[in-house]
Amino acid sequence: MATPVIRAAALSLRHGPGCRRCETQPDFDGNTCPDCGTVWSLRDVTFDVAPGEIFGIVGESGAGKSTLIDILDFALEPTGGAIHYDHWQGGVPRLHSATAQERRRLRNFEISVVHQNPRRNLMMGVSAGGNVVERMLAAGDRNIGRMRDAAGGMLDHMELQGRIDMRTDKLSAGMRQRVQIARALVNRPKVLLLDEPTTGLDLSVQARTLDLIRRVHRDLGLAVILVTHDWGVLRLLARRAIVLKSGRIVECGTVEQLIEDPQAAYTQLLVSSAL
Amino acid sequence: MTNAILEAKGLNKTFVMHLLGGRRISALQDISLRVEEGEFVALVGRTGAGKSSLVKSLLQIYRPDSGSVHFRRADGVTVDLTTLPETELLDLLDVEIGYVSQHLRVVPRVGALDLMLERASGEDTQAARAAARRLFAQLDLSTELEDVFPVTFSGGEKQRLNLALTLMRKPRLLFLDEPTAALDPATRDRIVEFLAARKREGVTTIGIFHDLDAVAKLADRVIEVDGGRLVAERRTAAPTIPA
Repeated sequence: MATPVIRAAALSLRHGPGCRRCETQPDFDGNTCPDCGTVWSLRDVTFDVAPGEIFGIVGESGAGKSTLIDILDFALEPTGGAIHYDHWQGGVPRLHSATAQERRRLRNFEISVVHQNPRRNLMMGVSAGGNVVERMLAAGDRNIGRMRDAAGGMLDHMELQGRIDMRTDKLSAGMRQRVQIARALVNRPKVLLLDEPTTGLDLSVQARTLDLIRRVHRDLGLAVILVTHDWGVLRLLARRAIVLKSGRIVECGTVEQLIEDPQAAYTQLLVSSAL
Repeated sequence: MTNAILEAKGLNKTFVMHLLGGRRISALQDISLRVEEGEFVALVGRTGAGKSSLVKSLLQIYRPDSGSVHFRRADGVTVDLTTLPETELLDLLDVEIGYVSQHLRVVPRVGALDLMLERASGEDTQAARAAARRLFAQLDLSTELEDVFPVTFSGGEKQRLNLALTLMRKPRLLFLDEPTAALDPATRDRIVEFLAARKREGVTTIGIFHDLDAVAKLADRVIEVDGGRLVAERRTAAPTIPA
């Protein structure tokens, strides 16, 4: 296999002091240690993502999916383990040991995130184009004409023709999602993090967004980490996935394996609950 | 392994149903199977006999409890699919090994021809377009369907598109799950003819069939599956459509 783009090695995030029981033999269900009350949002999460791959992260609310995205996006610091990012300056051995300046560069050029809630990424009082241009400004571009052209091109690509000057809060949910994607892609990152990209969208908008993600993935050759609870979306987009429950990986495999032959009790529950 | 493209040894598969109190359901028991390059093997047996389980276990869609599945790649190297890293397995399933399931699963709102072109890796669009159109013609899929979303296709059309999509990658080893089920006789004959042509090109095929007429026309070897075991095997004298 080609060198992975991203490797998460025994990634953990805990809130609390920890004790012998939860640090060495976590023999309890859920993510709260019954002895010391420490909450483990993530625990020993290990996976790798190949270049150009769409990698799925599945689980219900509270499983730790968004926590994982937030760690990859530098919004949270892990308390244990590391993320290795192998495609920048000969490799960043531990993403979270990067300096503030390096983090800015990583966020601007290498790893972009599309949040489930567009408000986390978008300035709602600013135009669609302004939201995209802001990323380019952050990346150091100062040529207004060029930035406007690039933003317009990216918004066209997202099927948002003629919306460049519309305020983001005047756009529909599906359009906001696409502005977010345009913003995430304008600096041509190597990795795109998608947190529930189709949740809450109408079916027709969902189909359009899926097609867009596929096209973007194909055209730009990105690695994508896709967080979803929708097996249908997963099956259409991703090749491999991990299943998270209470911050731990309960199963990993190809998407076909997870759907056709789920082995962990939790995966069986999730798969058999799908519509 | 001399000319074998696929050799399975001692395959076992049991499902543990955690939601049903851990009930165990045995799907395959000690299956060994060797398939030669260019061979056409038909798997027959009643519903629930384990034919699909066998195919899925060979393809690693089901993860067997024990046993091995050796596959000889185009570069001559033999690999065990049961222990291959997932990404390498998926690459093989993308290119060298094709699987036509009974269900067509495609991205919504993409036309049939565009779906075909997406499968054409590395080919230039002109050549890919021609290859896609050729497959459509061979499978009697009307040119009118080219830009139509497959969700509106009839059952038979979906089945043939599924076959066409898989063949776009020119697999060396082809798995089929009832390719002629629910088709009218003329269309069925067309598919049998199509599969025979692939066989003449050297494609190895392992197919599940209920249609014994198609089996007689295509198969070099017929294997009967029952209760998750291979219970009988016979070589057909000569398939009526010769290789």
